[in-house]
Amino acid sequence: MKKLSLVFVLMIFVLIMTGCSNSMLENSETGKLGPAWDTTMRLPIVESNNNFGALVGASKFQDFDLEINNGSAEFTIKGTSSNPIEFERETKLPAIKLNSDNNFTFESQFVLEAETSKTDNLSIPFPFNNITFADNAPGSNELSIVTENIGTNSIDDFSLLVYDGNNDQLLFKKDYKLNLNESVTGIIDFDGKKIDYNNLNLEIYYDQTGSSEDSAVQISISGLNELKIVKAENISANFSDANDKIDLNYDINLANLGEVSAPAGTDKAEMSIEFITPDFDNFNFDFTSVQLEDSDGNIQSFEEKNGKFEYKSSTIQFGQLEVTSDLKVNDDFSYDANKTIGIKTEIIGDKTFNTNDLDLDTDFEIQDNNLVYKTKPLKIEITKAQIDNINSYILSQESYLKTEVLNSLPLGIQGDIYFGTSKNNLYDQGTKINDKSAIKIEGSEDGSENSTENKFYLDEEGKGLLTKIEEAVEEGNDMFIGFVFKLGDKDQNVFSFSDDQIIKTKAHLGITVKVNQ
Amino acid sequence: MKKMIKSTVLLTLVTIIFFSGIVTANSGQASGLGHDFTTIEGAAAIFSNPAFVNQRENRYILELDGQLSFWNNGLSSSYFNKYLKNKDKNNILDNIEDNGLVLNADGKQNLKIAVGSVGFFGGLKENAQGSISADIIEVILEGNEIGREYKLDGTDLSAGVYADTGLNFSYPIERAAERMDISDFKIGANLHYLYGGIVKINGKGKTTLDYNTQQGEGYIEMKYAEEAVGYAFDLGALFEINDKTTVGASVMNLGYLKGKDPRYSKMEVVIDGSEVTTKEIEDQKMQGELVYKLPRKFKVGTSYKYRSNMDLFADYTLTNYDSGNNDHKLAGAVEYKPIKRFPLRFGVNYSTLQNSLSFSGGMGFYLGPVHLDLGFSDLKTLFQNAKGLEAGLSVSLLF
Repeated sequence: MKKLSLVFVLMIFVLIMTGCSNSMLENSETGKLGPAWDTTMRLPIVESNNNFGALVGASKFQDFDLEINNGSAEFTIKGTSSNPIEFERETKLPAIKLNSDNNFTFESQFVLEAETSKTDNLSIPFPFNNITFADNAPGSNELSIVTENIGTNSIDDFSLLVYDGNNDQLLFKKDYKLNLNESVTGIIDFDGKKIDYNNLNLEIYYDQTGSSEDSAVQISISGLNELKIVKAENISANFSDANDKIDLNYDINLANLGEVSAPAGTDKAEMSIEFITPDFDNFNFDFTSVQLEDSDGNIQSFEEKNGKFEYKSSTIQFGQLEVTSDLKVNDDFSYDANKTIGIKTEIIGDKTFNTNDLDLDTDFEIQDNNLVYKTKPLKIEITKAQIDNINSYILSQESYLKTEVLNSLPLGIQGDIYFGTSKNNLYDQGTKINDKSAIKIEGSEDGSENSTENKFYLDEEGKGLLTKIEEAVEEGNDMFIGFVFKLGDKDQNVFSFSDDQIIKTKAHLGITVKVNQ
Repeated sequence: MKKMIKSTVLLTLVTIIFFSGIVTANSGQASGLGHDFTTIEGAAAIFSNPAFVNQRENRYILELDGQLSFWNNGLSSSYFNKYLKNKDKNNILDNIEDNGLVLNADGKQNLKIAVGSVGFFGGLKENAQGSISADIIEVILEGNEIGREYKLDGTDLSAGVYADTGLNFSYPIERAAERMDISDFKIGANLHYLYGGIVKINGKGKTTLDYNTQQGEGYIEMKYAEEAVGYAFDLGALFEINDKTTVGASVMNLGYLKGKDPRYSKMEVVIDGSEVTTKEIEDQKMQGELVYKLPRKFKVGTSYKYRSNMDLFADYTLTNYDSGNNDHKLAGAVEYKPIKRFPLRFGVNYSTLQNSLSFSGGMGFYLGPVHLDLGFSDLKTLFQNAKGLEAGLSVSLLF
């Protein structure tokens, strides 16, 4: 039985040693210690949705009709009361002019002792915290500093320095020689400055070692009554212009196409505008009027109804749009010009046009009764830091650029993919990266999506996509990707699309990293 | 002879102190069986069922043992030196499920003395259990999916390193045994005094990488106390049904360590597009209490004397960890004594948290009053397919 126990112990020992010497100490695939695997990090680079409303910048509509005849195409966009043509735009808010309620003043007298050289420091309250002043605001945002000799002797060497409350920035510095009763005025211009402090720090230096009698100086600081600001939190002030006008850039592309006609069966086209304003504490936008200047120079006024401004006419002609608003504030209000104001426009009417009428950077042309549509080049959003991160790992040969096209149009499409550094000449100067007919997608009868995916390996011979991206980033250039789609049907030349029938394009980089290899 | 015994004891002490730091083991007997069985007898029962400490042949016991163990719920040793294919990655992710990758380490180094119905124990314990969120493991293994939200939640660690000293008392209640018409009934209890340090780390947050949005927010916070004290109780009962069958039940580790002057620090990260904002709360005094709950165990089991030289064990244990994880463990084992001086042990157990079946083996060398027990699990390690390691060594003097 002792032998049995000995055999048992020896068996355990042999098994352990066998286990250890087997694959415990080395990965047979890599020759290194530990597990190894490939993992793919997917970096989204571009995505866009393309529907025919993009031709005129409309996000929604009832129908978009396309008719191809003898090498030309005619489009008609239609809006109805249930599905109007809809445009949504955002524009940044303007800087606002204010009269400050603070009545900020500071005045103090200092004795300059005879036969003395000295530096004094003092801090004064500065009640403009949490304000960011606008750039280029002549006549506003100024603080004046008046220095006056009020003693009985001239002052030969006197300096005044003003720092912000955090002592981060020198706002004002002046060296004075002041005759008897002489005063000198200086200005601190706060244009573009952000105030995140509650006081100003003053440093006063004088050297009266050559003088046998004391002198005295008076420093008066005042101003910042007229302000032009881009941002403020919890401040008290009044508008300098009670009916402040906001200039809004009304850039819907339909405006370039001339008049919109009334829909079939009705006698008037309609247009309504709704403003979507940001929420600020104790700050109200009260829009008082909206006016449209037509092509003949006539001013058409919109009628306010249920929070919207509406205009009806047999035809609507687009021109300059002027919006007037009364901005109202209470104490402790906030404002931020970096926020945007939204303008939602709805049009009930029809507009017919052809590709020649469009002033867009989107290319359309007719080839053999097919509409060839080149998407706007899409910038590849990848940074130098991301490139560096990619290069800091060992790249697998599996790393790729993957494109995905989803088609919900009722007709089939073919496509090609282009890659290059020129946005304006992508399709002429860029590289076509797919083989012939890489993208070929059937049309959808029921609005569902048909899709195709294409993978382009980054280190594939002759392509070198990663190298191209890397070179572009290194040289500070942007990289763009674009899709050319060919739409058509040899048996049909009239097509009608709804606003949810789109061609969706996506692309991402798949960076496959070899871990512990 | 006395000198020889003295030298043997000294050598054994040194060996235990050395090995207790580098091997994973319960007491040697329990490690060989693969589990702290509720019906194990003698000094080993102090940490499994206090009622069974006095269920032994010898009046005096002096035992030294050491134990360290490590396990996880996702990575078996077969992956340790392997190129992981998609099938392996899927297996790992299936194993960890929603718990994330759970990592557990335990250690004990103890001196136990039992005289009659009273026992004393003292030593060091180390417990640590943490989890890494399943989403993080998935990103590490398989990469990200565009547009999907990945969560850091469930990434945490609770750990305590402490001295554990206390008393055991186990006593037969004959009248109760008579009423139940069983051979013997004992109850037992341990009282622990705990002193050491504790730490808790917790991570929360989420991130999404999509075509139009790249955003995320999260934080990692650490709470710790360099000095923590506490008390704990264990309660147990023994039912000797007849001379072959014994049943036991116990509740272990009813207590906690509370930190004195706990400290706190936190790191917050907010990602919005390309803008990354971090906010750090420097190490500072923590508001409120910092409490580390001992791994609380509810145990029930039985042993059966199949033959005069063969005992069978079966057990169920529910363990509540401070991290919030629960583990249900089923275990069975056999102890075979072909000759009395060299018992052989084999066990098997299944843990729901570890999500794995483990096999153990061990043996004893009983040289007169000196007993040396050793055990090892998981035996699947020998075949490159174990998710944990545990080995144990104990030396006892019995009179």
